[in-house]
Amino acid sequence: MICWFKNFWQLIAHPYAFFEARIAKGNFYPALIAFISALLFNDLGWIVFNGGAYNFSILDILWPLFTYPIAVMLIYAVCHLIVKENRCRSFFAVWGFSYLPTLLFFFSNILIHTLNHSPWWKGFLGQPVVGLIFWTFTLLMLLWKVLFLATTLRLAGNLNLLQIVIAFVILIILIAGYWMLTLTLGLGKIPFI
Amino acid sequence: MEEKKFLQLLEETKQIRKEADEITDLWQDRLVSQMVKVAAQETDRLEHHLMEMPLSVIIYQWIIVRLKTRPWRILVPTSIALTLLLQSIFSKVNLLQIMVH
Repeated sequence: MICWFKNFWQLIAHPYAFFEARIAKGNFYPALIAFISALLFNDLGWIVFNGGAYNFSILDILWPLFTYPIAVMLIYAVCHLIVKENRCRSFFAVWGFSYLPTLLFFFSNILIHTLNHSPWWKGFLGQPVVGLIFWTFTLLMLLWKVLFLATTLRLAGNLNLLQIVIAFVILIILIAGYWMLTLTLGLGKIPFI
Repeated sequence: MEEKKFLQLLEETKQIRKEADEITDLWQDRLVSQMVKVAAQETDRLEHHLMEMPLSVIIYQWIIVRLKTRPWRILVPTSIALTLLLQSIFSKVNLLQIMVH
């Protein structure tokens, strides 16, 4: 548990050094745990947003399961397109940690949704300051995820600044396509990457 | 006779030690002055290098260094600024309602 908290603190305070150490170790089990917890929260979010009813299809359950390997392979493919000196294993070792902001985002979303549907908190949520705090938190999580992506591209992908920018542009186009697909299939409003 | 020789050797030893101390002091002074000189040269070189750098590069390097350790020092003010910007653009819209529904 102490080791877990130490790792957690390292990930928050020193993400660059933490990712470097993880790539050197090449062990991707902690990343897998982070992914599974994010996946659980994703499904929990579905249940909460559907009013407590577990009424979604098998595709809704299976879709997030495939997003992790697909996301890793996609980032690896984009990096490999630009630079050949990278290994897929390194991406698997670190990308799972980027699900921590995702997890916190889902948690905050579920919390705010629950509060919004509670009669006691209706007035509280009407306050503009609550919206500002929530949006600040959401943007913070997004920026944190972007930071993790940039660090992954730098360390696992061995890309320099210009190559990171190119990879970002390609990935944004691909993510936009993926978002459109999830919206069309009704798998969620926010893409789970 | 032996005692006289011993006293002479003792005197010579004291003299040698005194000279050695003087040499050590001298070398220490020289070493320190040399180190100060090298440090000043290095500072000048770095200052010159920094002055030649474009401002964008200095800002970029500063951001990168800040992001590597304790990234919230950059991320939190940026997210607050972005929220305020969004709020000022969409002043008539309740952003929270968009997010929740």
